[in-house]
Amino acid sequence: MLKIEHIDVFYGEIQILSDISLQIHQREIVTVIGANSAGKSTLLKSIAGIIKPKKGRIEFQGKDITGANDHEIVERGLVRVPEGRKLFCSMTVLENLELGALKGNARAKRKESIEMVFELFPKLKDRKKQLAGTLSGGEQQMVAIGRGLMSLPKLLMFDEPSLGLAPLVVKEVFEAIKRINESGTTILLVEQNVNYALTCSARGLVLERGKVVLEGTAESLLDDDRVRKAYMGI
Amino acid sequence: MSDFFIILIQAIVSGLLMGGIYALAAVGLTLIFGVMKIINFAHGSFMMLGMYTSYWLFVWFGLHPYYSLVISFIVLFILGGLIQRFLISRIEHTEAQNVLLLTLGLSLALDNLVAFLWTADYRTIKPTTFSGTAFIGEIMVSVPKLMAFVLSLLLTVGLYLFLKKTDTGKSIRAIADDIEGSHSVGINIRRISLICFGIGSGVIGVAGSMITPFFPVSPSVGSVFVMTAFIVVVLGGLGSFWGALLGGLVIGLAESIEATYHPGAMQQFVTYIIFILTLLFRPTGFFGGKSA
Repeated sequence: MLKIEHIDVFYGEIQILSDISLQIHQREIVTVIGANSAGKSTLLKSIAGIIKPKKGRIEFQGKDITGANDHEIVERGLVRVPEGRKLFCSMTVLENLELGALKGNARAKRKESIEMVFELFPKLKDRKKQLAGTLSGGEQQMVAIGRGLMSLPKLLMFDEPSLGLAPLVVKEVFEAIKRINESGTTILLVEQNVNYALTCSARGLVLERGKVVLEGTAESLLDDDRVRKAYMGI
Repeated sequence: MSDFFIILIQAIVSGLLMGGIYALAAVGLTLIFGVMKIINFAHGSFMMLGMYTSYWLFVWFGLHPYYSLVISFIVLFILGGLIQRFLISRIEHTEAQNVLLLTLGLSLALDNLVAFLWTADYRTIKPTTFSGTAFIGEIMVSVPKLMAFVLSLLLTVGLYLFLKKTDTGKSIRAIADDIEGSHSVGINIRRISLICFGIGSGVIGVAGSMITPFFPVSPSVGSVFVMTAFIVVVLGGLGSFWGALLGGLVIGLAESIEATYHPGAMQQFVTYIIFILTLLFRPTGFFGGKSA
């Protein structure tokens, strides 16, 4: 579904990613783990078209999207839920969700999609008229996920969805991600919360200083001594 | 009615009408500066171009400014869009003073270009319809100023609804709120910024057309309004159309009452006193902290 071939990504002069290749198949959950500044967010931003790779190729559903604009990529159904949620804080929950569905089919199905999001996160229904900035962290993450779903994504990318959330809320967020996957959406997850993320994934890869150092099934990574030591503190 | 009350009511009526004109000059800026945070010092020059558009269309074709304001809108929408696309968008993400210097330079260039083309003469037109003064009892009401006042109310309501209800309006607010969030939902940021700047510029062109029947046109006329427009936008609370309307009315009223009782050059003084006091005691403006 998504095929990344040997991309190099730079911020100015500094190389962030080197020679990254990755394939994601339909309906999979794939997790990317790695320390801070390993290049995880940059990887997602490159896929989303916010940063253009200097070298390599990104293909989505058989079409080359390397160098495409970010809004075109969203329209194709490749959507990112950014780190730190990045909600429109002075706008209502409902408006935030509406902005997730601006074009084409997603725009036409906006009303139904809102109902679908409220079904997934019933809490948001009571808060729909509230300003997004006044919500709790967990609720904000729900709005961010809901906003991503409003674009009717085929592949949804999450950048640190559990960041700054209470353990109970983290569980809720991962359950939502699993349900989204079960309803047919492919998922690419970037997480510090390695245990949770790998438990619900099929496969994973480890990024270190912009390079893939380890790749395998989720179970094999959970059993890997290096992963356990470096990312799970065991 | 005693003279005292007649003079007071007259001062209030004139003040509100002038305030409506200040608000009119400020609504476009609310969109550009208040919402998008672009400091556009060429705002007054855009108003001047709107005035000249209506002036020449009246002189050449006898077209009333209330019709030619549509053309002013289109002309300034295109000009604003081009300036946003080819000049401002290049330096938008650098420090704020760059945009300020760019637009200040632009305003000097436009004012002088117009002075070169059409001389620095003050010009006036006298349309025969919607002109003159109406009397309500003993109170004088200038008809074209009343029209400008009504239009500023309509534009305020119109732009408020545009930002609140349309997808484009919501996208504009989204960009102002969180640029990365806007990327992630696939807002075409270039296109929306251009539309926003275009509409803001178009609206100030309309404001220029609206005041042409009673305000002399000259290349430097924009400088009369540009500072007041910025003050009104900040006074009302950045990004609030209702705030800008109220801010305009407050400044208009204060100036008019001051001018009635202390004839002389103290009007601007009152404006700045109000401005400074507001910044001291309510730095977010009348409607600050609330959206739109």
